[in-house]
Amino acid sequence: MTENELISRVLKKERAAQVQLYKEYQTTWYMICLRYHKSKQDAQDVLQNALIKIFTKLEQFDGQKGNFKSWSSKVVVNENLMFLRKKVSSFKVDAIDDVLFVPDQSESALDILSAEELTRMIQKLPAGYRAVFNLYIIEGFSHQEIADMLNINIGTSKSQLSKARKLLQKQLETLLQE
Amino acid sequence: MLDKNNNKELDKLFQSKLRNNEAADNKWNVPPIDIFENALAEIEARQPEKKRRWPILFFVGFGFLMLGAITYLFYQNQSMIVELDKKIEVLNQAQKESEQLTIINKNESTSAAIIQDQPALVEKSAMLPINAQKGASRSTQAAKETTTQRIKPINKAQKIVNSNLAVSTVSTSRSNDLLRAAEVATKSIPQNESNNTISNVVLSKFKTLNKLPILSIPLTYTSRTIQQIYINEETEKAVYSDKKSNLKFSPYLAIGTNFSSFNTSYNDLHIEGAVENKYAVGYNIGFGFSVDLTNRFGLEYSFTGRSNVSRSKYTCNVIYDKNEEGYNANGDLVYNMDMFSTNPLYSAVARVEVPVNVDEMDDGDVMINKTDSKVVMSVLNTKLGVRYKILNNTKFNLFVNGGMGANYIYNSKDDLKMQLIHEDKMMMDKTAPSGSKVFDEFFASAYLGLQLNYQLNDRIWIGLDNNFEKGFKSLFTHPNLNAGSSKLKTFNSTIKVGYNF
Repeated sequence: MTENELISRVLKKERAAQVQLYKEYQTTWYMICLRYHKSKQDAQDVLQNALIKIFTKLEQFDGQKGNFKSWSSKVVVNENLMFLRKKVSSFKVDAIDDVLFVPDQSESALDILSAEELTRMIQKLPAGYRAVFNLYIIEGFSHQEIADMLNINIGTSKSQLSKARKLLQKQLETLLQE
Repeated sequence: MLDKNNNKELDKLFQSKLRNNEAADNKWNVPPIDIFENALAEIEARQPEKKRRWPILFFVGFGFLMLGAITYLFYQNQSMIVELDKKIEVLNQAQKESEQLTIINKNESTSAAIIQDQPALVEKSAMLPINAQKGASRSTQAAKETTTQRIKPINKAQKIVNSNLAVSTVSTSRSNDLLRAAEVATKSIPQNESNNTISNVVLSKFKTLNKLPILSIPLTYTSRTIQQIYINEETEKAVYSDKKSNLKFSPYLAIGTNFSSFNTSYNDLHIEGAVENKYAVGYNIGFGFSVDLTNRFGLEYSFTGRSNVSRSKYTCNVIYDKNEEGYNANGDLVYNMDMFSTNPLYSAVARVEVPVNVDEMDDGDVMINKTDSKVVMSVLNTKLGVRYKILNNTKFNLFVNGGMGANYIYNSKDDLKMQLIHEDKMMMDKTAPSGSKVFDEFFASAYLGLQLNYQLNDRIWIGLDNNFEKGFKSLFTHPNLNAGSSKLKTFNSTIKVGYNF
């Protein structure tokens, strides 16, 4: 069965099709949520809201304009941002003036890190940094798009990405030293 | 500065590892199945909810439709009454004219009879003693009065027809006599009536035209017109007098206070017990109108803006967990925790980052979580109901009223002050204004109350309306809020000033 056929059946509210679609993308959606929230509970709450959006707005999906994965991932990302907006009064944080020394890491050393460990590292970032890092590095949005989505200016987006990288490198250093 | 190569390497690492979405062996990236089940259940639950909004919208629309219809009927009724009054005025004037014509006609006949009888009377009076002559004179006078009285009709319409027909059938040969008689009769009419414009006009017509065939045409026409108007007016009077009495329209302005209890049942009993205040107070201002369909029974409609303000404090203990420690942007140690925000309406959890000193806190340390919240809701409320007058006094009227209400929460905000205290040391003290809408925008309600009106004069009244209103559904649909049910229960006390049309 093709993806379009599966979506057509979901639109007809066929339970089996709904389950199949969920199983196909549950990991993709859940990993997005986990990256945006430190708390697993928050991530699950957002995922539930995102699922409601995906299944209720599915008729808006146009298969000719893009694939379902990217459409649904956008819905999940937006839901995460909405949740963050409610919890975080502002994405602006104090500037970091300290320059961190980041040692060169061999590829093999970095390769041993699992997606789970990297996700945990992202989760430890402050909410604003986490959001910008996810949107820019993982989701692939531009700084202009991020600035619009988070209601910040481009400079803030760039600066928060830079700071997020610093903190992640610091965490990497600590982790590899251990 | 950071090395660009390092950045690229870092980015590549995260992209390669995190864009692979396969389920891990330890299932860390597989969500619990109940999330999917809950989402589907939520979708199913929302579907009938959408439908339930239609009755509310219909209800509001119906209210405005009714307002329009009643306003239309009221003004139509008013214009008919004005028209009716004008017609009655015309009728009364025409009636007077007709009566005077009748008097003219009858007096002419009487005068002619008196003139005819005079020689005989003179002869008789010459033969009679003086007292008898006086008696005869009195008899003649009595006969005149009797004649005048006799022409007063029992049925006005009949009188009008008869008298005018009498006038219209007078022969041409007697026009000069009639003219003379009319002059006599006019003189015999009391001064105020003889000054009547219509009488004078009629008399002048007699004098000018002196041609009864010509005169008889407009008079006959007038007679029929008057008769028709009279009959029509009697019918219209009956119809419109009913309408006039049944549609008593009374708009009013209202201002008052409200006291609300939200009947929130929190999912967590510990939270429920810790909430110090579960009430809200506010004010309401608006307008409305009532329409009395009978002497006791009527309809009422109102449109009100209402503000509910609730404040509450909540205190609970939080246990420190070392696993929640992390670093902020400055590399400082911070404690990440869920802070409870609870008020009479709902309970929410806010994720906060609290700076802590290294080794200051240990696992199991108890911190005090204090929140002080203020929730403001602005609601548009419209009510449509019935009322029944249970006390009908000249000055005081007491009504029992009840009906349905439709409510729209057009604005809401909650301001939250959060404090975290450990061993008398303030670890965090911050205010977090929240502009997010957490309430369901529409809800229906029902109300029942008593209204006491005092009539200041014929038109203006002042009233005190006390009613109890209950919402049909929980105000909160936000899935992250810990409030099982928050149905509004409000006591409204309103002063109204109205005008009776």
